[in-house]
Amino acid sequence: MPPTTAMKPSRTALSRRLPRFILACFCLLCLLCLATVSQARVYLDITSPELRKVSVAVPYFVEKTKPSETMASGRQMAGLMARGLTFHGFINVINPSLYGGRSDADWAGLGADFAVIGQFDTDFTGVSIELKLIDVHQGQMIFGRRYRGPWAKHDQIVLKFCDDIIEQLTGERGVSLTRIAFISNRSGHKEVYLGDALGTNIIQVTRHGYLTVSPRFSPDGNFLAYTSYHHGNPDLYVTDLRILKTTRPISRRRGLNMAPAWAPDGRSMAVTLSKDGNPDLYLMDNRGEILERLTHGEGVNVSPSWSPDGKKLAFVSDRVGNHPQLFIMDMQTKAVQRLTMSGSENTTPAWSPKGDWIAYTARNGSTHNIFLIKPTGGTPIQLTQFWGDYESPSWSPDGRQLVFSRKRQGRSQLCVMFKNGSGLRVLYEGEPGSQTSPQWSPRMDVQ
Amino acid sequence: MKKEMVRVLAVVSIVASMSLMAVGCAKQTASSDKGMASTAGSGEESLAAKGASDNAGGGNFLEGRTSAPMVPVYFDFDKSNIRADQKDRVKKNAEFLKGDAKVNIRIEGNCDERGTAEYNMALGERRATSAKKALAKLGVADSRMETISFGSEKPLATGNDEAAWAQNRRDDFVIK
Repeated sequence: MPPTTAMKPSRTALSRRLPRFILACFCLLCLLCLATVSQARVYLDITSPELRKVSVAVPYFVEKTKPSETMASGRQMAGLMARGLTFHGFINVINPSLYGGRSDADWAGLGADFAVIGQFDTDFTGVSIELKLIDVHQGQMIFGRRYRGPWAKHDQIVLKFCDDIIEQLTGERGVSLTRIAFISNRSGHKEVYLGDALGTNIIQVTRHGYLTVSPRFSPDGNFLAYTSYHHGNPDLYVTDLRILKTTRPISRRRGLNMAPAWAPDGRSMAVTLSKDGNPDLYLMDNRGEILERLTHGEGVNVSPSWSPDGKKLAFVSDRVGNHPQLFIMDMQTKAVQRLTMSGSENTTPAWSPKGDWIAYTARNGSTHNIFLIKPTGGTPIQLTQFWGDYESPSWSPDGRQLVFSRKRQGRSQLCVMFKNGSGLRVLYEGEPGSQTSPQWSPRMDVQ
Repeated sequence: MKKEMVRVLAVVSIVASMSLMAVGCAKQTASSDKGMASTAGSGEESLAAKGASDNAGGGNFLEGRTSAPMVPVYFDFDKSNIRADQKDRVKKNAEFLKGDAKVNIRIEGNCDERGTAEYNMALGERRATSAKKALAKLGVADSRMETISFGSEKPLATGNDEAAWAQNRRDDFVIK
């Protein structure tokens, strides 16, 4: 089998997904326009600082054929829905044991603003889940929908509903159906793992048994690029997450092949190579062909992150004064401007999905913390401030939360936090080993 | 339709050959890559594909993972230039290499654990390259030296103080 044929399936898969991705972007755009036109549909302005948490009742989901019984699966689905809603930070789910989880409780009496009523129906072809969102104050249903799928996907269907509800309440889709890619050393070697954003379902992606670094999602979330040393050189690989069997070498040039950042259109990636003697940024297509060299030997150049419109690229360089700082390149003119002016070490920029902030790691004294800065510069805002080293932020697709690593006494765990610095939570609490380099996936559909 | 079939067949045969490979030659060594194209090249691999063996922890602690009689070269924090007090160590390595033309080496750049992974990876590469350039200047042929950076991924000293960090900001010179 010649290698070119072997490489074909995933390559065509990527190009086949692109039109769909663009279509999805278009649909999202239409939705956004609709949202602005029909402001009345949007209930909550979650950007408002004086917002009180909304109270939502999520009674146990009821099996349609046995409405009087409480099924374990009905409790589990309601519990998952509650976790998904709570994750977004502005919802308080009323403890169902206060009203026995009944779906006909007195919602106003319980202080609920909204109620989420779920019903399900299983047969040999799978499960059908039906869901209603009720505005308690108005006394009316504001949203109702039904999804079908195999029983094995019922968790994902519940979370798809959850993200629908967040969209109904805020005008922007929720992020409970997203994943986090990260590096863990739990096997004794650093490998890529995936877990869901709610903190469960961890799977090991690579088993190269050597050293793996820098995972990055493609814009559609279907592919994951990473760097592995298993052939003795830090080489760049891309794996198709829908198949999770094989991986494809994209760049095996002598020296570094690392930290790729896919352009928002998914057609190219910015990547650090040292083949010409210095760690420089290059633009590469999805087959690993170099399209353009972006930096030319001015110090170290790493950790690229695109602006959401693809017009600019933030990256790390120590070209001035031997200390790493953030720089921004205009992709049209290739002009480079320094962004961070204070601090002796600023690294790992992550451009927010809305384009309004760049999150990064800053060292002050001997500790590292997560900061935000406007892409136009100005005074940085410090987000983390308690015991530990906080590193490598990555944004949730709605731009409201960040995932990053927190190292204490040599052990690193992943944490999520809201953009305003509140609500720090540890993901994967019981997971052994150290977890580092988290990357938040784009929104996914039920797969 | 036909294209679909070809695609399915291709995938099936890849998977089949992968599993055969996994059974047949689980122990592939890094040297088998030498003939490979410098760019992408080699088609798909299993997500469990192995190659080089991880010999972290080997070597004499005092002399890093460097092959005797060569000695490691140490660096200042966030710096990749050869310090004045390290120039004799580079010279010592150059003398050894010039005395035995058959020896090829790999220069491994390392960083202390402070700072983020990707910057350290690039800094380690700069450290390895700067030793390579210094050796070349002293008359060692470029073709006998290759560089690799482990960033802060393979710390030798694990302490959380300057003594340990200084040990880890290091180039190793390993005979291939």
